[in-house]
Amino acid sequence: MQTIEIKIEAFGEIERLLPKPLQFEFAKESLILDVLNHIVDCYPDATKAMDKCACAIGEDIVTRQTVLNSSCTVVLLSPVAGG
Amino acid sequence: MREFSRVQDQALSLDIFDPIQSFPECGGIDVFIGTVRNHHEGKSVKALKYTSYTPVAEKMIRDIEQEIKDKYQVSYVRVIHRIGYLDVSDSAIIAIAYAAHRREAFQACEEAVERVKHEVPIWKEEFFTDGTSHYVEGCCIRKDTTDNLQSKKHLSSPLSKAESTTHQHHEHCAHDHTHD
Repeated sequence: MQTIEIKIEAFGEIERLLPKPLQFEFAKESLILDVLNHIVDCYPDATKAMDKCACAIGEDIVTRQTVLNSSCTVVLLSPVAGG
Repeated sequence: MREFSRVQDQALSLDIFDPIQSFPECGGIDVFIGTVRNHHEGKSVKALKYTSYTPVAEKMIRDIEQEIKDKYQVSYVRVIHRIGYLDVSDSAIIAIAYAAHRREAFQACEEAVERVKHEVPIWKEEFFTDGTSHYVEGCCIRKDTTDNLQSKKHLSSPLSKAESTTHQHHEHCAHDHTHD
């Protein structure tokens, strides 16, 4: 089974609930949803905050159904509060 | 047109924007400058720290500017946002709109501020004089609300404690939608 390395970068409220750095190995073609489920499995205190997060890869907001074909950084975006 | 980052780690200044002289068709300028106040919900604020996910924030601010420019048919809309540690009275955000008439300038500037505050991945951490700090509760920008955790069967060992809540954009928005 081919694996990929997924790094996690967290912003906002959820950043305080997860350790840094955070990275996992997943099977190629896993979904972002699989990654998020694994994170809350490891860190259940982050479950509620995770549910409010949008996700990004690079400069794109992506859905939880995005298929991960190669190693990358998944960015967790908590509810925003600029200004 | 001047090119500059919309997310800035240095003090904000109006000097960064294109001059009104470049837009002779315009008859008005509206400017909003958001500054750090020394209190929040009865607590004394010492300082703020803004962070951003800049790759998306830069793109989103530019998209918002363009959409508002098209919507209100104004000549110029720009927003810049500060990140890093800010003291009381420092400028956190500047929005500016040039338009032929005042009403469009007001509307464009107001909407630019509102949208950047509520849609762009920027976070505000408040540091209080009593030594505590917290992230200001904000607006959820998640749009794939049907894909809640554990709602699919892709994991070999799903969580038993998983929640199956659903929510819509802005459901988690807890701060007031005003120009503060």
